[in-house]
Amino acid sequence: MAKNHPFSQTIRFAFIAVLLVGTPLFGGQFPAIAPLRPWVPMLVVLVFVLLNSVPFLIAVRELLAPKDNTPLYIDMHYSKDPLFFGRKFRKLVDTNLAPLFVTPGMHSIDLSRQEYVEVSTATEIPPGLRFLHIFVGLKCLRTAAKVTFAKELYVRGRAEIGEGNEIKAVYAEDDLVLGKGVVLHRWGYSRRNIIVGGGANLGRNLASEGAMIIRPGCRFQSLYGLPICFSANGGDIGSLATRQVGEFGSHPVAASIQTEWVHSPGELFFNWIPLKSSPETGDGIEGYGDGSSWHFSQESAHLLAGSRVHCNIVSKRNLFIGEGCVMDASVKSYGAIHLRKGVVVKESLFAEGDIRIDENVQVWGNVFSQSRVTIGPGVKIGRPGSVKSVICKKGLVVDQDAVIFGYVLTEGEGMSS
Amino acid sequence: MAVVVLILKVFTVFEIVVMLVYTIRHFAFTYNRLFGEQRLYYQDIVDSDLPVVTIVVPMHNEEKVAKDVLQQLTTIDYPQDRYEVIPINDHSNDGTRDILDGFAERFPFIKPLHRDSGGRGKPYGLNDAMDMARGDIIVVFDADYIPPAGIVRDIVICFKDPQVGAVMGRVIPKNTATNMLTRLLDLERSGGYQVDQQARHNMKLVPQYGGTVGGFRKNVALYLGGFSPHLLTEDTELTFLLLLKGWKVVYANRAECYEESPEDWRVRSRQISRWARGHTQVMLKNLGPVLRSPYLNRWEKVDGILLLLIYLIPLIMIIGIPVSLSLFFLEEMNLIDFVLIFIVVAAYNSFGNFAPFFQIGSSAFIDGATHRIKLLPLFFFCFLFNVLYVSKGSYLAFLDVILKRNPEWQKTTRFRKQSDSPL
Repeated sequence: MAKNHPFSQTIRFAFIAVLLVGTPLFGGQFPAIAPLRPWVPMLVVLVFVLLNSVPFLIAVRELLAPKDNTPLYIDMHYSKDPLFFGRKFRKLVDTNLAPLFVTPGMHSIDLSRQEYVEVSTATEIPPGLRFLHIFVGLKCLRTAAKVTFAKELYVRGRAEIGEGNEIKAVYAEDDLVLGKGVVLHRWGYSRRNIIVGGGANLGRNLASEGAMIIRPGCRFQSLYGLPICFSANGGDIGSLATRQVGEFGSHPVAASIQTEWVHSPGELFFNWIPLKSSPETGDGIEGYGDGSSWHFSQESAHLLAGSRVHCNIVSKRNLFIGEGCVMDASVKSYGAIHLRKGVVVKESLFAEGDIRIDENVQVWGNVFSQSRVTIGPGVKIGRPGSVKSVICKKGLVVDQDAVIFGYVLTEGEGMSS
Repeated sequence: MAVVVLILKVFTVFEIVVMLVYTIRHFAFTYNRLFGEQRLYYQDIVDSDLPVVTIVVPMHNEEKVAKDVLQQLTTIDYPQDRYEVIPINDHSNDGTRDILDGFAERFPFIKPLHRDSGGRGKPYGLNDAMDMARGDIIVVFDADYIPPAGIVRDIVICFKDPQVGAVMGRVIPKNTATNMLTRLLDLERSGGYQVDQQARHNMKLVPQYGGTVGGFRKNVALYLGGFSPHLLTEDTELTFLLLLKGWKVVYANRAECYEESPEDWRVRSRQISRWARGHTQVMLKNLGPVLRSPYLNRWEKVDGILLLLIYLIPLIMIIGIPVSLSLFFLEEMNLIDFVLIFIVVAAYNSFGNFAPFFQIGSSAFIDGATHRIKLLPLFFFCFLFNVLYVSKGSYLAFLDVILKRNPEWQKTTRFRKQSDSPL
């Protein structure tokens, strides 16, 4: 080791530090020891050194004969994809299952382990049957009630799953219809549209490349559809598939704006602190890029009904936004957010607490909560032609006639009411 | 003499209190990661309306690594028309220029910035890059980094939150297996990100923007005056400037990116001294404003101050050695009450000294890399090494203030050979 090498300096420093710190810690006086045989102190020192060395010996062994010296794994190709499950299964179909399609019957293939695959031309499955293997339907498939698929179900056409069926995962190349009370254990996927009957359990993920209709009483964790409609009546697959995206657009923005807040936030009835104080802009609201924000610090902030706000709002506590307000930018709260009837938010909502969205509210951006989200009847999240998200940690309840354009995810339980 | 003894005693008590505070801090972070509630990060948001982003890669004589990072940036998953890459050739005199120009010819979204005049250093480069950047968001990668496909989207998506001013991703060393230093740095990085930064994100404290594998709002950075070329840690400075203006810094644990860590103790000593020097500069500038800020709550202020002071701890420890020795030889070790002091010192030595070690061990456990925990005892040497060179950096920062001098930017040496290319 070179004389002035940093590591050798460290070793020298270690010795000095141990000597300097050790001496005063012992108070310079060791307890009086009765006369011992001469080898006893040596033995004590030896045992001390040995015991101290044990952790170092283990460390040196790992250093010299490493069991764990590879870099931590990063999936270099990973990118967030709400259609992940379906796309991954599709790859498996293309690479492993497709060769089997030419000969209907039972096959055995080697996936991560030995699996049995039944390739069938059947279009109807009678009630009460139980399939313990992967099932491939080469045509459209309709299952009767109480059928169980313990492994994946792949249908090359339209799939209609009967009431009370239990499925590990289902992939349909055409529309997918899940009957009342269907239980999906993992995921479901359709290349076109999905319609779900009441009381279904939708597993970890249900995704559609087209639209999705969900009846009341369904439980879910993650959904993707353009759009996802929560509807008790109307809206069958046929009509949904033929509708133009523009038809999902809703009410005109804020029929009657009573108060417009652009440059004079001081007139608002609550305290405010500008997020910045720019000498060029004077009032600290309008200014650079998207940084024009209001920052409310009081216990609970109430925005009067019919107000229009052109900039971001950040509230330290609960935030109530009155009926018919129009928010041109994003809203964030460190407490809860309550959007009353008819509010329009043109950007996103972020809250540490619960978000409650009353009827006929429109949020053009994303809804994100570290707690729960409740979406009232007739609410629209997102807009036709774009993908937005509703993300919440602890749970989500969506009322009837709500429409979400894009993605829904909760770590808790999602429910259509 | 009585006054001197009093000062020495006050310092010793102060030192013990500081150690205990940091011990509690590290334990709180570790506890949070192992047993506490984990907050959602914005990465789960799927949004088709993504902002225009400019990816900036500062480079000074980076011919060993430039190709890899640029190659990787051509494959990222982000709408083609909504991103550009600005590699900054900062006064290079090796083959960096040719590599950048070669990529620019093949990929129109790669727009090299050749800096042959003006000051050299990352802050100068970033300021120039911001002038020509088309993006609303600037994402920065150092030249030795290997960004995966989804990382830019994961970083950018959280700017949907109107209060987020900067985002920090996670750094993972690629050359872990090289030697003892790289293996220890791998663990140290793990503890710093998997536990420390993530716990601060969970506890709504002050995650730190680290200047690479992260991004910030261009307009806000420009509004704050850009990056000061006289500060060695422009990233820490940005963190605190943002916080003081009401913006937030968030940490994205899933935005993981490989880096090359130093393979040589000499290079590491320079790197850590530079960090300490720069961090102390920022501390001297921002300690008061953090205390007075109306935008930070009580806990954010506490964490912000502890973060600002963290590079001073080794210096305090080193000063503590002659102080305690002096007290000993003056026979004045009877501080407050011997039993109390004994309990505090014993408790600190039993648990406190090991708090960072628990943190590192826990992070390896969370990462599922359990065998490398066996290396923890070797951190004793790393700890002493850090104490020495961090103290040196902090000392130089104080000297800079006294002598009113501006430190010069130093580039970290690269070790990658062409045959080591990770791609």
